[in-house]
Amino acid sequence: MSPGKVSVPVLARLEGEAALDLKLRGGRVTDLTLRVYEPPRLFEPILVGRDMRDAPDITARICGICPVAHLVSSCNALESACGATIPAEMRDLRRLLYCGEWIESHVLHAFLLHAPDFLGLDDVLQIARTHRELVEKALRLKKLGNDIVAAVGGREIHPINVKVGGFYRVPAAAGLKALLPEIEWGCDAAEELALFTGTLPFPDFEQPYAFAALRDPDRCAIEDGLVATSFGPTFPPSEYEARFREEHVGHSNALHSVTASGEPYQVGPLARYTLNSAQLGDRCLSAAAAAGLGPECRNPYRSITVRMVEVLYACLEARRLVAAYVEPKHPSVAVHPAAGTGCGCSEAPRGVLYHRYRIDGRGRIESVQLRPPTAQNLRTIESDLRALAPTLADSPPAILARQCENAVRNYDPCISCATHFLTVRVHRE
Amino acid sequence: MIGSLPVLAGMGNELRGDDAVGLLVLRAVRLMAPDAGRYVELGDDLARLLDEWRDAPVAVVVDAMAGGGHPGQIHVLADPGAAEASAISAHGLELSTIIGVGVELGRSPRRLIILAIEGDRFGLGEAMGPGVAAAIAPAARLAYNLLTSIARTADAGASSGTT
Repeated sequence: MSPGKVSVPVLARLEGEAALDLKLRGGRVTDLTLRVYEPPRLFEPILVGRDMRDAPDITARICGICPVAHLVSSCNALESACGATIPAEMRDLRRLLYCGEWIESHVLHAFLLHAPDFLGLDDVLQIARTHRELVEKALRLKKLGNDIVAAVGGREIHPINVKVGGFYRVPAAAGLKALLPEIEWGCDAAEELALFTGTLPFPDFEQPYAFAALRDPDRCAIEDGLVATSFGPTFPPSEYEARFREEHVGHSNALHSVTASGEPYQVGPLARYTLNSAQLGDRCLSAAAAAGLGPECRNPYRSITVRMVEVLYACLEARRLVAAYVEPKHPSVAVHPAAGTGCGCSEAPRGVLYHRYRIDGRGRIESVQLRPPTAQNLRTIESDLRALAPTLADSPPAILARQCENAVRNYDPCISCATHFLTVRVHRE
Repeated sequence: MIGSLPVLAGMGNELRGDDAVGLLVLRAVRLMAPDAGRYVELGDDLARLLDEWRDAPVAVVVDAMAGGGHPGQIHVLADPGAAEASAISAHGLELSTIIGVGVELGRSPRRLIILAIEGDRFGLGEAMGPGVAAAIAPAARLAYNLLTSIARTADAGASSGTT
């Protein structure tokens, strides 16, 4: 192959802005940089000096796709800092809210952004034309997720009902129960869509990933949990920064996360599935098996199937939680500020979202650390591209660029959170 | 009920200066005429429009745009196609994409009007510029007039069609 370079200046169908520069020499990658050029958004310094009760709603504004994740991780951290215990019914309501976010985020990505890659289509316009029934079903399922978020959180986007200590107002039981028929439909639709994804043509691209995901001994961890990994012991969120460190890289405005020993790791659907699939229950595991998944998944292209299995799980969980719902007597518990540090995690659709706050005795925020899942996955995405690019070295630049975009889209990256995201340039020397 | 009322949708991000104008125009109209139609505030999730505006007699969408014009200048795009609408600011799935998907799936309003208001301050945390702020009231009057006059015309058309 002749030496040279390939450039993909803007990666499409991603949340945020970034670019990929790839240099190839004789079929070998000599340089690869995933440049996140979206400016830093500086949410952490915005919070310093503010009352801790402002943090959930302000951090939720980081992202219009995963505001619930920021609300919940923020509350977990601050409640931990203050030594507050949240009653089980509040945790269940947060879990239900989170199920809504998983459904809407995963379905949007899987069928409006990701599925066209496997069908040889350019975008959602084409898939709407060629697979109308599928897209109609996906849109209805996505709307179910929105409706769940609105019912618990007060509105679909940037829900406003979550506070440190619980909720501002408990949802009326009648309003939630009215969702049950649609949730029931959603269970069947999610299963059907998961099975459809199993029919897509996936490249053979298994990678030796290191995974990290939350774990709860009693159920699939979503709204909180300890941190489990494929390469070491399970640990509490308070050890997150000791176990995973962030590195600045010159080509990215988003920091890269690595393990304490400097290795890339992955959070998100593949990590959750591989570490916790046994907790998904019979129906999800049957759907996963029928869609071609084993007990673990190390092929990032199959993340579309894992996401839809997670949508099925979220629908089943929503059905269970709504059916059992009884309005709590009080919407929240009192949380009294106490000087100290609190760390909290939850499973955003894209993976573990970590928040840490240090507050003074009046609840004033002194320092903040946020680690969104996309930033944690950036090093792994680069590793995937390094493994993929040599196999495509002889491809025309347009094909190579498109394949690189597809590989990045496997992660549903949210550069709004990581700081924003993609443009691809490939250089052949 | 979805489908029977005109829809006014405001798009934007309140934390990004001029980008908030679509939301502020919507709120001004809602204050003026709360029963004139269905009001839909949109952030990142434009896919909602496929349900909200489906079969509506008219949908008016208000958003900021960065077209290089004078801040506060109001553009009216009547029944735009996907390519025409792509000049409007993007929020995740772009409005032009949603318009195209709506056409493919038969989930479009009967008439679609876009009010695009020129802005030049879109930085995170920036205040809205005076030119765009001054355009809120006239844009709200225009949106209200479009909403009510086209809806009336559509009603009349529907009535005459059945007699």
